[in-house]
Amino acid sequence: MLRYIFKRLVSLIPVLLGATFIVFAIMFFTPGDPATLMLPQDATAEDIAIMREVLGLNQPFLIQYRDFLLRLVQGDLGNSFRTGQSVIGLIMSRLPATMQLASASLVIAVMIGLIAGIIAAVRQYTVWDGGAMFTALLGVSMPNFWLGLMLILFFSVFWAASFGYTLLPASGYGTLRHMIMPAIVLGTAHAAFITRITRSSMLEVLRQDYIRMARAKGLSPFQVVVVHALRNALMPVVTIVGLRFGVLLGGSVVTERIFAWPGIGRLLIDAVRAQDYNVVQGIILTYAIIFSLVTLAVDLLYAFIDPRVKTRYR
Amino acid sequence: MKKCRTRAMIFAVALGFAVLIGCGQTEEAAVVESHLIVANFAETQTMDPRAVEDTASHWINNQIFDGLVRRTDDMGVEPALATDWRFVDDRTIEFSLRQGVLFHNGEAFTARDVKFTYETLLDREAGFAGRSRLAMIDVENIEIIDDYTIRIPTNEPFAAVLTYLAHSSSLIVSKSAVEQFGADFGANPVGTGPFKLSRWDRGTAVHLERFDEHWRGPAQVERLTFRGVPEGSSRTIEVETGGVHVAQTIPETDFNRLRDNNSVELHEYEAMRLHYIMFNTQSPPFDDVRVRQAISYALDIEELAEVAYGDAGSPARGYMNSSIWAFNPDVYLYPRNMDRARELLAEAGYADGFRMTMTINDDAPRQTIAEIMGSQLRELGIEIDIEIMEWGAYLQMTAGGEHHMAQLAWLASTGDPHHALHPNYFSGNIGAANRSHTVLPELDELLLAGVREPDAARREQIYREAQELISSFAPIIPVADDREAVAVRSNVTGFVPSPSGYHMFHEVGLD
Repeated sequence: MLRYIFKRLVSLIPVLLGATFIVFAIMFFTPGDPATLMLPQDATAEDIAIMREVLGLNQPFLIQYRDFLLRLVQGDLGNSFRTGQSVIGLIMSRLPATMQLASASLVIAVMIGLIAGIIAAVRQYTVWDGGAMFTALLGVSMPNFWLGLMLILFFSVFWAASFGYTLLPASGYGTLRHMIMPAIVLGTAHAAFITRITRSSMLEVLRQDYIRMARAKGLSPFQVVVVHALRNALMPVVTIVGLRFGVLLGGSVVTERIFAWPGIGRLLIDAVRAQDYNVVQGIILTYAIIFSLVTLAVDLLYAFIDPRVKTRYR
Repeated sequence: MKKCRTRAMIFAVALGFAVLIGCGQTEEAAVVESHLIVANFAETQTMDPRAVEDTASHWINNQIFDGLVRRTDDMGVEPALATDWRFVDDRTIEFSLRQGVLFHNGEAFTARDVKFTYETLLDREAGFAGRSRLAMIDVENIEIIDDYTIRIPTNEPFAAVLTYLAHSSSLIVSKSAVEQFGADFGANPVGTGPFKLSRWDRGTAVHLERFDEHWRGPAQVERLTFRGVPEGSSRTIEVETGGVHVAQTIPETDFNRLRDNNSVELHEYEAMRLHYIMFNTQSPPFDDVRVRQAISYALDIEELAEVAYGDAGSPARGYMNSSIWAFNPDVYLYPRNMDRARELLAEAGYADGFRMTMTINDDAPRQTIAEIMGSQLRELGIEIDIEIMEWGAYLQMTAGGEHHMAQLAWLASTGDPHHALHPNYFSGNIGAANRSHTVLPELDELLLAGVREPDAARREQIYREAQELISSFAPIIPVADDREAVAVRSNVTGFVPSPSGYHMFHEVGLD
């Protein structure tokens, strides 16, 4: 198992190199100029040329990429063009908020998704099934910005107008109350996916002989569903949940913007707009690492769910 | 199997705790007395005033730092860290500095801090974004006469020097603090302003506290927090529900709602920005002044301004924003006259019209204007293709002159006519802010004369002439003067909006 983990971690290196190279190339060859964006609009051509020199943007592509790699192996992602702050510091200042929101959203998504998916499967073709699937469709279809604004209008504006205080703050960061609405907004869409995958996976398992056997033995429906069926239906669900967690850790620009949540998604978009190469590189690198680690964790989790898988980890 | 389940449970509980503990800080309620909370439209980048060129950061820096001079509410200039000044010659200004002023670290402010600020700001190697704003200063020859007297020369006579020194790029930093913190000064700012940094929650808020030893006396509120709330509708809701006391840059769609709200006061003011359509005057067919004038005659500016900007703009009245002094109210604006437009086009050899591209960045009002223009110009046989570009590429393309027509806005944040006209129309600025690629030697002479002329009345006359010349050359079609709005809770006292957008909080209190 340890050998497997080590192999997977080593295989991360070419993935990360590839990701940084592609992003670096895209940023480099995108029209526009970071120096122009940093300076006031009345900056002269000479001012822009000086700024390009200071930022090292006049170097050829490969030299700039080489310098980036040299810094990277020393654990230095460079500084932001715009603010001069270290990229690592910038990312670390945003990661906790992103982790918190991603975890809370995932908890909501898994709770809703698992329960709704199981009910829909067990009560297939009933009102329960239809209701769960309709809600799932609604969850996928509702745009984040719309749901976010609706929640704000109800919990903040309407509540304040009716009762003289806001039940939940409209935006911001720092307390559990600030997190509830953005977590619901993000969690809802992901819950819908989890509901659908849980349902189809459960349906497949519930049709199998050993479930019929369990029922024939006289086990209670709860035992049959939760102890015998769910465990085996969990494999695809865990995959989806893992991938969703990876996506959530990437941040959500729309939700972060509406709720003024200081996540990594907004930082990335701002950096892309300002063509702040170093920050964009740093964040993409972080994404790649997080995503790879999450998929590794998902693979390892299989072994806990299905011990037969363990033998493959060599 | 049991072991696995136990592990999973421990993991789930730990995850839950991590979430709860991470979020378990006490919420800072907006109702705490003497704590003013402001919703900024973006988060601050850095609190080093030399290093930024964005309004959101400058706004905060203006509370932490002072300049030698500062703006009055009507965009005049009044003493700040300098008590008095005189022109030694047409290129040198001597400032007498205020004595007894302390930095937030307790050290005394002296001429050494002024010299240090400008020397570092103008150091090419340092790459500060604010450098270009003060590039007129002859930094090699700044002379300290004594601790409280300093002479600042300019490379050429520069009549607008005081308004430029009142700009946020010119705020004075503490020499010893910069030397102590180095590159981290932006996170550890030390100025002489009415508020000092208490805590910076990056990406979320900047918390300031009152600096009791400020030379103008302590500010009204003890604590001042700037929260970054990028979404306009969220800022509106925050001020409506009391989450913040002041919200900057309210979206135009929310104006009416806030006007009707008794617990909020909406301060609407003329910002010093002009929205305009611009020609590339070097690119056919727009290298012919008759074509530019024909299109100017063909457009209904009132309709464009109304539909695109609504209450956030008023139809333009001239070739620079009308709230800037030396604005010429008598300048010729081309009234809608389709017959005259047809005549001019026929004279220029385009009686049947032509096809052209309007390049814009991803901006809703500009897209609206381009679409309306398309329908208004179709009568002349002119067909418009709309090309939407990303902002950085857009700036580069228009600076390089690869466009036919484009749209921009110009904010003369110093409030000086030199700032409003010189960057956009001086031929030496082609490749930079002169994106209409205007080359007009008579205009160049006027713009140079304007900045060299020390007498304000004569300067005004020069700039009025310059605006008439620009009108006849028609390199742009002015569309709208910008209007901004700040929403303020009714229990906030003493708030006066500044046309520059950098509203000051020293005298703002809470009932």
